Amino acid sequence: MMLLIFILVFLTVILTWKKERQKSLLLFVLTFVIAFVYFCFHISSHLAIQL
Amino acid sequence: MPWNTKVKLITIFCNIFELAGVIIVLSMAFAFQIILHELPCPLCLLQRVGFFLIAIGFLMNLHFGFRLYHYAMTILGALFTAFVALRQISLHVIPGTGFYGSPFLGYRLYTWSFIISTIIIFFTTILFCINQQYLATNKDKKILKTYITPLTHALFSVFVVVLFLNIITVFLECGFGSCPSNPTHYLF
Repeated sequence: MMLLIFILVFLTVILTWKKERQKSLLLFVLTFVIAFVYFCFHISSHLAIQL
Repeated sequence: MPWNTKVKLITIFCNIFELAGVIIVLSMAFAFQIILHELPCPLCLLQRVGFFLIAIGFLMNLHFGFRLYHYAMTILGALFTAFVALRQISLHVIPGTGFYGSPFLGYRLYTWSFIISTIIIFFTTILFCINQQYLATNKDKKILKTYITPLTHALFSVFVVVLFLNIITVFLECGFGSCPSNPTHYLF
């Protein structure tokens, strides 16, 4: 999962470099959402262990 | 030199300064990992992702021209980094719960991550309020093409190298699955 997030960041940077504005913006949003969901799952699993 | 051009040059300098700062932070985190053999935890890796997202906003500003949504992307990345860092600080804030990693100038790396991302949010919020940067004249475009474009490509190159090295270490540490919460050795 973490590898996927890093690869998405890499693709976003490459597309930005190639001046593909719309695609890089979309990938940025996708990366942000996936990273945020991963973070939320990480918190919820920790809370479940603590409770 | 007209006032608008001066202001634009200052904002370009500020963007380059912030971008260089983020690249230095990421390089230092990577150097800690390689030199001190400290493997990053999932939250540490998420903070790195946040710093990469911050840098993408600045890269877009330098590459496509100044837009409000580029700054919004940077602030979103910085907020994400701050959330993750705060979560990690809260895990270790109670006495007796231990620490993660070695200290740097008295603070752990996740505390530095929170401090730096908060500074970035503060600085970027001030920076995007400067109105003159959004007005592009032909002279400004000429300056951008002559001086800023080569510099932007150089920053892109360094950034891509740092990112690629991080991808390799993430693969070595986590493989294709989820990362261990307290890693002690590389999988491969």
